[in-house]
Amino acid sequence: MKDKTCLSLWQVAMTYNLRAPDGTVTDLEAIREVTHELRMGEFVTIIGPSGCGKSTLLEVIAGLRKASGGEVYIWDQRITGPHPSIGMVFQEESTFPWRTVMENVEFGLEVRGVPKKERQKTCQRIIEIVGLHGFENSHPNALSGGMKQRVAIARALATDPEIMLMDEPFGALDQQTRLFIGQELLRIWEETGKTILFVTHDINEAVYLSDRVLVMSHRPSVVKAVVEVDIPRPRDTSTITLERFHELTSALWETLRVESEKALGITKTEVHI
Amino acid sequence: MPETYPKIKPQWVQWSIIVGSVLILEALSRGGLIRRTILVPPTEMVYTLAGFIVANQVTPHFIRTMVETFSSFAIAATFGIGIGIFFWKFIRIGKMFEPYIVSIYAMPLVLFYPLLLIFLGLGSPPIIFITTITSIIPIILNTTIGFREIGEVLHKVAKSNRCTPWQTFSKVLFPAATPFIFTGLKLGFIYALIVTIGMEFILTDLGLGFQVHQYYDFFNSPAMYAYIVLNLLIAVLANALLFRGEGAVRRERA
Amino acid sequence: MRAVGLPRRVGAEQQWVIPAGTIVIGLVAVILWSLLAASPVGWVVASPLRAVQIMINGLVGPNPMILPHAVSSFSAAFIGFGLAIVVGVTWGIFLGISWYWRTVWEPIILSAYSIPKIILFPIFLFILGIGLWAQVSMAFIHAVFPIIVNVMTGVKEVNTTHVKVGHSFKANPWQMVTKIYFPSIALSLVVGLRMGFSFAILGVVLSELFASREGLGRLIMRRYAVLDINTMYAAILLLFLVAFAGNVLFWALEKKLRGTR
Ligand SMILES: Nc1ncnc2c1ncn2[C@@H]1O[C@H](COP(=O)(O)OP(=O)(O)O)[C@@H](O)[C@H]1O
Ligand SMILES: [Mg+2]
Repeated sequence: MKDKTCLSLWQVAMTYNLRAPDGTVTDLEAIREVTHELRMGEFVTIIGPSGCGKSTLLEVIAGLRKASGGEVYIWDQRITGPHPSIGMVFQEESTFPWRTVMENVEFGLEVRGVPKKERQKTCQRIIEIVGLHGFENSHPNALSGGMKQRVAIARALATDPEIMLMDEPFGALDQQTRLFIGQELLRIWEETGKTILFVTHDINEAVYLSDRVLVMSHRPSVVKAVVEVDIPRPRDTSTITLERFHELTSALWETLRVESEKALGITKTEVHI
Repeated sequence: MPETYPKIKPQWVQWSIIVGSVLILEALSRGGLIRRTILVPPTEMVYTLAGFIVANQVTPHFIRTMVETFSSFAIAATFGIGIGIFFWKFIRIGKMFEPYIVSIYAMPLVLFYPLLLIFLGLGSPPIIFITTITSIIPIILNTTIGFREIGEVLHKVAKSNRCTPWQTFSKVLFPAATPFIFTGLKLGFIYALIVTIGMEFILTDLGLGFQVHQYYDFFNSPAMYAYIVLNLLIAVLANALLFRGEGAVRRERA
Repeated sequence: MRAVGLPRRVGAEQQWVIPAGTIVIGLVAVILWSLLAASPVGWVVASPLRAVQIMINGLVGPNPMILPHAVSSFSAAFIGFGLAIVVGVTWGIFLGISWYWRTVWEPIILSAYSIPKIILFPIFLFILGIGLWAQVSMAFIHAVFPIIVNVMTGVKEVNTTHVKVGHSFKANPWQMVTKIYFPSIALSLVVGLRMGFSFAILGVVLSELFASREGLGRLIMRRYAVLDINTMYAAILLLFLVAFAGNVLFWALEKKLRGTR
């Protein structure tokens, strides 16, 4: 089963139409072309300079946004809208402050009409997997940033999606917390056997977590490099001290540096306009 | 610069100010510095009020004022939330109405009383009408803002969970907007109370506001002050309760 | 090397749509008003055209019967509003700066904000007697609380990092006020002024309906009593125009300030 393709991106492209109040429309070509395949159970990370279209790509896969070109398939079904087998964790804080942790996690099953008893049983298990046991009845505001992201992860896991899309879920956390919650994520991934497509701007995080890293270029973006991470699993927080880890991160930085410079250069000229 | 402030608890100072003012008024009045027709001693205000309450004299006026306030508020809440949602959904229409909506506060609507008399007759209906229009404004504005301020990510969460439009509204958007809506309702209620009492004071022949007017006309200062005190107490109490409620709503969410 | 195509024009999203809509709504209101004036209830409603005519005549005509009342009402409103600005801004700044005194006064001020102030009018009549100053007092107590509350909130919420930046550049107190504090609280101040202005006019008119020597509120009542509906509506129209104009002016300023953040 492990090598069966479950998600394929074929020449996905995205051009935004920026509409100014005076009625002029300008095209912004964010993604030129992304083609890639994910096999079941893989952990793949996308890394790229900010503004290169990582969130855009994930939203296209999640069916939240229509691509301007190309196709996305889950198994052999073409994606045209949100798909029940895809769960998403967003970059921004997205838990519902008016619901308890349990009620947050129940959300997906609730909208699918799963009876309360049944969904609470499922969600209890998920809450334990993400390590929030004991906080079922807390409101998100009583939790730390890292715990809120666990709630968001649990909410996405609860509907048992085949594929999890995670858009910089730990972006707001500090370095140490990130490392430990990353380790937790690896454990959750192993326990649930999900296919994960993960976005980050952090090279260490990318290497530490994934089977494979895609480096996206500055926009209009293409996949600039694909790096297989051959560090054996299970990995833990000490992985980052390995020689191989440094080789891979250095190689990735070399590729990424050029793109980030382009991104910053562009930002500078944009400021002057 | 860190603030240096007195060691006394602020609550103590607060109560000293309130109690102190009352005592000063008492002294000024009893000491004959201010004529009794102008200022009745506060103890006498309360005594007179207690007398009215015991004699069951207050009840019909109290009921009238409450009925007017609550019915105006109920109508304003129902339509205000609806209109607020409409102005959020149809944002341009909302913007077109905005200058008028924000200006209604400034309009002395009571001037249309003669016209309302013809359509609605004597008594409560014209008052409820004017009160409703004033009370509805903060409800509309806050509802619209509440929905407008919802982060895009919550819309995305709803969509990626494939919520139906009704589920999106009832399970995500409406709860997300509730703190703002509650603030609107709080203001709406306070305005309803203020306007009802004010209208009664100027226009009618029944209600707590009217009692102040009546005893002013009768040159009965103790009775007039008694009713002023009662009106103030009701407003202050309503305000305090609503602020508590608002705090509770916000603590859970913010 | 920008990944941006050539700009092109499309017809949609014109900026005049919303103001045009606002004007259309105003026109519809005027038409409805005309219909009402022409209907069986027309004996208590003057037509808009008549009202405008009489208003202009009453203000600048050879025998200006509205003018003295307008002067009386608006001077009461503006004096009261002016006093409310002085007192409200001072208090607002003081309470905004001092945590301690804010804790002491905030509940008292919020309670005062929520009371029906018009019922205090008899007390002011006792003290000040019937006349301009009684109306001024009503304008003042209606206007002062929204100003205090908004200025206080504005000052309280000034970004402390901005204040530190100011100090780190060794800005003197005057520069701190003009370059850091004032721009930070400008929006709240304008919101407070808009509400204060509206409530000042309201306070004057309401109290004039109760007791006054002259003023638009009194004129309206008198004219209604003798069923001179035209003059009555001319005075109502004048009041509404001034209240609306002032309100929209402050509100436009508010939107402009909001736009810069
Ligand atoms: N809704 C949108 N409309 C127009 N442009 C957008 C929109 N969303 C993103 N963009 C633009 O597309 C580019 C890619 O954005 P995004 O996918 O958020 O990048 P990333 O997540 O890699 O930082 C950016 O230049 C951004 O400004
Ligand atoms: Mg992003």
